Amino acid sequence: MNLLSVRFVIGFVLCLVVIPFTMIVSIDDYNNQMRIYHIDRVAVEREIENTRVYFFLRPTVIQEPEVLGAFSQGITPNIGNKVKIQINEYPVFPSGHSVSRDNPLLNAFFSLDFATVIAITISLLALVFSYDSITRERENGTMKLILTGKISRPAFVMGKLMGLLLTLTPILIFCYLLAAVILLANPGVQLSGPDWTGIILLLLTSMIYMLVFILLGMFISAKTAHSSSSIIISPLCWITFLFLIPNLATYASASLSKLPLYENVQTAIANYHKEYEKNAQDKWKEYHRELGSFEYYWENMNHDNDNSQELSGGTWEMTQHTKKMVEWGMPERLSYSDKIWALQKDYLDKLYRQQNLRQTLAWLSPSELFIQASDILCRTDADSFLDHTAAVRDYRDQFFLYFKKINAFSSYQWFTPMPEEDFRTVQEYEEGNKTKIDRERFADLDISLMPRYEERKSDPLDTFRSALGRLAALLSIAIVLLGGTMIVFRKYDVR
Amino acid sequence: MLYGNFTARQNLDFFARLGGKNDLTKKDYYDVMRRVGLQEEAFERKLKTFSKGMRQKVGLAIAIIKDAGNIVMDEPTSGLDPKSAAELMQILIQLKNAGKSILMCTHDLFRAKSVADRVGIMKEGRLVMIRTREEFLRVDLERIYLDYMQEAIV
Repeated sequence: MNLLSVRFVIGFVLCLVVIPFTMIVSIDDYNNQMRIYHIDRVAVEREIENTRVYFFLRPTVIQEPEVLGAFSQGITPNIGNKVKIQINEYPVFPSGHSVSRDNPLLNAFFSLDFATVIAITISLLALVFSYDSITRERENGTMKLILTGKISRPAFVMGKLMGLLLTLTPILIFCYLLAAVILLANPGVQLSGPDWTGIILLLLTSMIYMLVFILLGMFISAKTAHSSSSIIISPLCWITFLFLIPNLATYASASLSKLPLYENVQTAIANYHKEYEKNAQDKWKEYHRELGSFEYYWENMNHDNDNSQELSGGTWEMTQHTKKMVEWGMPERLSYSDKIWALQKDYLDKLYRQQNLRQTLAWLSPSELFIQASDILCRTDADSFLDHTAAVRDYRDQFFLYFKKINAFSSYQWFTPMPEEDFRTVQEYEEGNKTKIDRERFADLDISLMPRYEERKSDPLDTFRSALGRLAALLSIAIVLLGGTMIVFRKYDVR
Repeated sequence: MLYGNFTARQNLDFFARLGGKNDLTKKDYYDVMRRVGLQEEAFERKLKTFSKGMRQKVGLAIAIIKDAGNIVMDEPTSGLDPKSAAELMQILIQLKNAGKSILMCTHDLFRAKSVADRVGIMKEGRLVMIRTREEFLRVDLERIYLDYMQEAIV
């Protein structure tokens, strides 16, 4: 009977309008990200292929956009997807915004992802259907008649619950089917087996979430005598759980777990850089004296912001000098990067602690639990992101280990593509025999052994395990509410 | 009292099933509704279109179809036209003769006298008097009732 009621039709139409809209926007975003991702990948590959000196060999790791991000975007909109492996610092936060619409001004409109829409609409619908489930029966007098029979009170509650579940589950499943159809209809989206598992787990989570709100409505209904009072209390709870608690949690975590100013961290990092520069200057002069005075001049110099240089032309003494500088400087820089990382890690830990505190505080709200669980299932939560950056840092270690293994720091190819014998000494220069730049003789880097970053997609079982805590919490809220409803209803005045 | 979105038959069906009667046919429902005097055209109509008297009849039909041993009624004749009220009383007598116990409250002393085996008078939520049929047939029930009520005023 509920299926024909006005509320059902409104709920259905609401989902029919909102779901396709959000899905299309999300998928469009995903397609855009994917397109940019592919372009970036090609650019990075080309850059590596065109590199002739180890000085410039700095691969960029680009994180592949997450398909399930279309369901729950998590923190991805706040965070870039590109990480360049640098010698002087560990990567902390990626650069490059992963969400980029064609018109940056359009970004102002606030887009909801699927999980948020489900969190809002399903909870609202569940309350709309359940707020009067018990009071209305009392007001109609049907409860009296029902309880004259052999039906026990717990059975009455269970019956009501079943009825509500049967009414609302079709709406929920319809939402997911609609989303799946839109995904499948989109040629740019390829879903793998684990992705489907993720979607099914997401559906399961939504079911539990819906159950929580149905039971909340029933509990409120069992606590009140009139529909007119439960219709006031229910939306209050809804607003508290959906908007008040998440915002309060953010506010409270910001004031409880203070962050040091990032400027201070940056200043400390800059001091380390200065310290290195100063040492480097001393070393530079020292080696210069050792090799005997000569004019320092390269015909060709390419710089980039990592203090990397590709040099060609110049005297043999200068290559010796540069080689010495590299041999001393690169391990030094790596050890400085470790010192800097200690500072960054400390800051990152504080960020993470604050985030964790916020998440834990927000557990007071079932909606937050649901959104956090779906972020985890869609691999767009903070932990997934930190796992990714940790993997990139591992890759950075691996990468510089590779340099050490091939002795790149002591090779000429670190800074010049010219063969060693092409350089002329100062003496030869004075005899009029200058170094000639012969691009034909430039050697290419052999990068066949260079470690490549491989993105590890986490096992759906693992993601499920990390989401399990939230799911269990949701389920226990449901059980507590069910028990509460039963207990309250046992003493319910049917008159 | 009943579900407005269900038809008369659906209400009957729902409560009969709740009462443990799962093997009833449409004919059974129709028979009972005819018995309580509900007009045929209303059998498959939604209850929310019914008048109060019609709802009373459906309610009674439910009690009958459930084969309830005990029936509790609150002012069953209020809102009924005299003919329907008389029919209702007839049905109550039939039920009584079939061995069902019926407890009903009413302001209609005349009807109470005509059908009841025992009559009690309630005042301020308390039963203040009870008379069996033999006893109250010999006395003026209305007089007694008024006497009791008077005391309250004094």
